[in-house]
Amino acid sequence: MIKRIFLLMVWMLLSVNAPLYADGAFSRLLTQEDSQDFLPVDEAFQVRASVVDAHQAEVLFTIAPGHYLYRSRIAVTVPEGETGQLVEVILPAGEEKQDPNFGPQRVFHHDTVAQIRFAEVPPTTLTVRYQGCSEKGLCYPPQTKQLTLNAAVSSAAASATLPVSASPATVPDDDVSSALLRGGQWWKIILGFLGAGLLLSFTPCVFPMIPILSGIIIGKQAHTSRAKAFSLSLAYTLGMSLTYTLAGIAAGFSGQLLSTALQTPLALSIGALIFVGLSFSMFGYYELKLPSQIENAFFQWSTRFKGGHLFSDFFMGAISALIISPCVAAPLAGALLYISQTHDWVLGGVALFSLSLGMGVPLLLIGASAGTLLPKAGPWMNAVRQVFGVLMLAVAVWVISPLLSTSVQWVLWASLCIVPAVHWRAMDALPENAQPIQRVMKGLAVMLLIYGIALLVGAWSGAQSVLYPLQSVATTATSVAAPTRFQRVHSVQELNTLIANAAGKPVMLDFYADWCVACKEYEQFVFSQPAVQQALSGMVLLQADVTANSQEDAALLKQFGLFGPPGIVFFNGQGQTLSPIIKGYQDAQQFVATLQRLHL
Amino acid sequence: MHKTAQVIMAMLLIVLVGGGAYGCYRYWISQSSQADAPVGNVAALWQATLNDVSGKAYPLAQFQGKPAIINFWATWCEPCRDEMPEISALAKAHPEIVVLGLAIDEAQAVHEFTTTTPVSYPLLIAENEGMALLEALGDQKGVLPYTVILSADGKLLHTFFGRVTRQMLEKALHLTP
Repeated sequence: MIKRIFLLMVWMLLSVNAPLYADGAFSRLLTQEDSQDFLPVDEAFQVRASVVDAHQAEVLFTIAPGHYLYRSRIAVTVPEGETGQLVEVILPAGEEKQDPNFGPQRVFHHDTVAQIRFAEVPPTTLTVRYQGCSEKGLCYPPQTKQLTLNAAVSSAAASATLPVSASPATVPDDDVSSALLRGGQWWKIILGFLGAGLLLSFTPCVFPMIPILSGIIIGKQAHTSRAKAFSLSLAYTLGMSLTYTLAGIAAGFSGQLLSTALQTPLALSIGALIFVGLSFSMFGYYELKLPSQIENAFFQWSTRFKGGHLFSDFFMGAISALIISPCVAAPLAGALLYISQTHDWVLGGVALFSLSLGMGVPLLLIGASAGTLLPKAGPWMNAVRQVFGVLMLAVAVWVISPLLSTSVQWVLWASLCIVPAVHWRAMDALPENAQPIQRVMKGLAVMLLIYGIALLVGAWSGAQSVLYPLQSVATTATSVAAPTRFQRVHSVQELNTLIANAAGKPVMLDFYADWCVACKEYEQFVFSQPAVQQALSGMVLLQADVTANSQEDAALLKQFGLFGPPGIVFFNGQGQTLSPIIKGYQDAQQFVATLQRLHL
Repeated sequence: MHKTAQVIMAMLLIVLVGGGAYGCYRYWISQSSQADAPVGNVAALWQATLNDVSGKAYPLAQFQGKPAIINFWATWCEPCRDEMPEISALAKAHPEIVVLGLAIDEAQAVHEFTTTTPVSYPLLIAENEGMALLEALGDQKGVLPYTVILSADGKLLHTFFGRVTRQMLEKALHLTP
């Protein structure tokens, strides 16, 4: 009975909460319900103007989440009777929005700055016309505003506008997850994050959960009944998802940088150790389980009542959520940013829940198959366990790699190749009457061995890329470009001074931390490239090292709406923040393309 | 111990049922709050005289005495254009109902729109008068689309912010499809 109630509840939780918003009809109900409390037009769109210098002004549009302005409907004019003459109005390209009647339209979902140039002196007032809509399916009538420009303070404004233009934290266009949330469309958010979760489930981080879950299913003799196995895996997945959601919401509220917290040296070391422990149990060095006394007590407690084993699974799932945490830090950033900025924890929580549910899909499939998807016991199963073990060791190396020097990493990777290769008989002679499959396996093992040796050679010779371990052996050292020189920045104040001192030169600000894998990749593969160095020549290069995560570091990150490194911000000659801010990794080609789009 | 589990289960169940009930309640409130007679000054509507795209004048007083759908829209408003085919189909099926589209827009833009997307009901230009009419009929923020349902005796039956469907309109007018 209790079990049935539990199943019913689980079903209700799934069918009431998640697809409630996914359903098209329901989302229409939502828009209807919310339509009474939509924002007044002046809260949805705010507009300010400021003088930049003797010939320039800028108009800043602040756009509330879930709203957008049409690019073609923004018009800036000089009112009649004013002296100044407009030369041009420069707007960013904006995002594309498909309109069934008018075709593709350019719109702005985020704060936008229009640059305005005047032939001579700027006028004292500007007329700004704009029109936009809400994603809830409502449009606001065109607005016309008279904005005062304080030309008198132009010399002071030139320096004063620096922090002003940087502070609205122009939200980057390329951040898909936060854009999704700002869109405010529930079903899109759910599907988007579910999809992201599904993609994440293909990363090795979810691997450890498969043996844990299969252990539970087989251990409880549940593989005999499909329903039983499925309810076990469902309880496990929900435990994982709920933990994740709650942790995410809490982190979002406290404003703590969860992705940063998960990447401290301590957390990385613990994560790596967990993976090493799990992999050794895969190799059969020991059976991974709780001490028998504790397990017995737990087992006794849970068998006192029916359905108790579902609780214990739920609990196991909740603990397992900690294992996958190193992998999900990056996609979480967008959702967390949204929660901490808007305190809309319902939407953020639903997003996180669908993300983790997406990650749990393979586990649910295993449950639904009642263990038939799991490898059967026997020698084949052992081989699979060994592969899993090696993969988990690889995850451990990957997790810990930011803390290690390049050559140590390489030695680890090399040993990860050489040891399994030898184990798979790369060095043993084949018997006379060897099966074809044995010969193929030996060939693969030899390849792995050779690659491992190449990695070792690369480690000693200081090669740049895991894909080209022998690069520095084969080519002469002259082709390695000199490392890019950055000026260090430590605080917002210092940044503003340095930008002011740039004397009309564009500025690049790179956020860096010792533990940040992508930052190291930028150093190794992007900034070292001649094409990139050429594109960056003539720019002032600044770098903020946020390894310590001090208050100043946090303030710097926050200024640009960043949740942690990597992040690269560009400023034009006038010291204005440009959009997009690069978040995440771009290879050299993408990076140069981004630079070209900025027209610096 | 058996009891403990039952208590926990019962509590979780209560939370879920309670949450569900609260959701239904919110939904019901939102529905019924719209059903509560909306306030508006319908007289302002009947006093107006508006032109169509060809410049022909329509004193709105001539439409009094019938149930009516007044749809405020504009060519620059995507959800407005989206809902118009459905309103048009409804107007065609129910000639006994007055259906008017009041455009908060320029005559030229409306003219261009009607050549590509003709509708079965009159579209009148309310470029200048529209905002005041919207306010008089309960849309203080001037958002579009805004649709007003009037009874035959001129009472404000229902108002809709945002996109409407044929079903919503039929329900508000107590029509059987």
